[in-house]
Amino acid sequence: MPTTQSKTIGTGGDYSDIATWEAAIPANLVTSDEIWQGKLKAEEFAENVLITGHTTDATRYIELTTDTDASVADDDTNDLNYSTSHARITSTSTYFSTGILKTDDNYTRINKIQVLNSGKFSTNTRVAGTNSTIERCIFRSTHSNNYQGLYVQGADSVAYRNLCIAEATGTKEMLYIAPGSGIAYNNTVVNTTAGTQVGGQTDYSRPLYKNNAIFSFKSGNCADARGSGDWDPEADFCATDSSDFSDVTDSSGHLLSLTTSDQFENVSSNFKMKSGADLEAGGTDLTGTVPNDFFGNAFTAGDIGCCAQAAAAGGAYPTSMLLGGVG
Amino acid sequence: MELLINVENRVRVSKDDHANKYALGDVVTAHEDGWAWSPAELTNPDWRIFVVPGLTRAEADALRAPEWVPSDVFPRTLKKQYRLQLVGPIVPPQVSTYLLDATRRRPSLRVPVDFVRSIAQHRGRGVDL
Repeated sequence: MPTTQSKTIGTGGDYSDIATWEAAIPANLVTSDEIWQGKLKAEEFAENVLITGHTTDATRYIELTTDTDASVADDDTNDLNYSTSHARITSTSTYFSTGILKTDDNYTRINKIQVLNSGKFSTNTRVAGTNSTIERCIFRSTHSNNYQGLYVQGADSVAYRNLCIAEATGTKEMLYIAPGSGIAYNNTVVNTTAGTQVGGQTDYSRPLYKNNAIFSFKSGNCADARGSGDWDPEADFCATDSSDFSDVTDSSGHLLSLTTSDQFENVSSNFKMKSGADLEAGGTDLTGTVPNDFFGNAFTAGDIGCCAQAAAAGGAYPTSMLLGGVG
Repeated sequence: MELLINVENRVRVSKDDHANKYALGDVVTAHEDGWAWSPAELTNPDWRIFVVPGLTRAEADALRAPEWVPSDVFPRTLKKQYRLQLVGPIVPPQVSTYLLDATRRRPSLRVPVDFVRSIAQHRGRGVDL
């Protein structure tokens, strides 16, 4: 049974910053038989984060999450948006095009954190570790020359779910897989300034896109694919304001031409599902894989996006969800 | 600035290990003078702390930054772009003694900024900072 090394990060914590915590992780977690969990305090971490150089497996891995009540996801009375009152990774770096947060190690788990990209020419978060899980995070970008929101780079079997990805006027794909595989379930992806950007794009990859809410992108660009046949993604039961969801051939069941303002509490500052939204139970039943939403409350079967309707307060996130990997 | 420096060479069996693992002289992080380091940071036998008056934030950020190697085929990120050369005749005896003390009896060592600038090297190709 692996030993979990749970460490707090931030003022008065076990480590001053994420870089120091990452440097303390043993090089081989399999031989040390450990899980290393870093818990961010509710403060700003103005650093570029790189998690790399560790040997891991399915039961001995690295997890970056938040300390008690330090995440937006810990209280469903919070708006679903980037918050300066909670744990957040920020950078204005212009040289670090690899991403504000980059993970290379396999089986890495990232959950409940926020990443703000206000720098020019930089990806927000890049995942290059196979079998990684990214969930219940907020990736927010505010600069007009950002690169990708979430970039899955050469990693297979990555699960990304219950993510809120919002960008002001970015010029690149907000959910980008090149190459890789895995599942993208119940994510909310919103361009807060309507434009010609691409919501989700795959390069020679075959992920499954389901129950994603992707709004304010160019028609047909919500699941844009380069490659075909075996490299064509499957995109089903997503929702968009566009009249044409994607250019992929394996695509069905979408809700098209929706009114964005009918779906969210606020189209630029609170991406919670609005009462009466088409997103409610508008997709396919994924509750066997993603039972709970961003805030830990139970989804109604078929809910689209990362936030359930009429969330009950204080829902707990089951351990099985955090340990599930690709379902 | 105060620099937290790695003084352990992690086991390497491949070229990727060289790129991805911590090595002697890598700057883990940097904080302002007078930083309240945690007990774990003050006792880890693989780390030391240099207090470097006059080192700029930009220099410290460069020392601790990863290196991005762009490629259309397989872009990579290396653990660090620079390292500090901590062995050899350029390193004064007082500094060597501090670096060799894994008990960390002395929490930190004050060193001149010119010394740090003189031992900063590109991690892969030996180019000066």
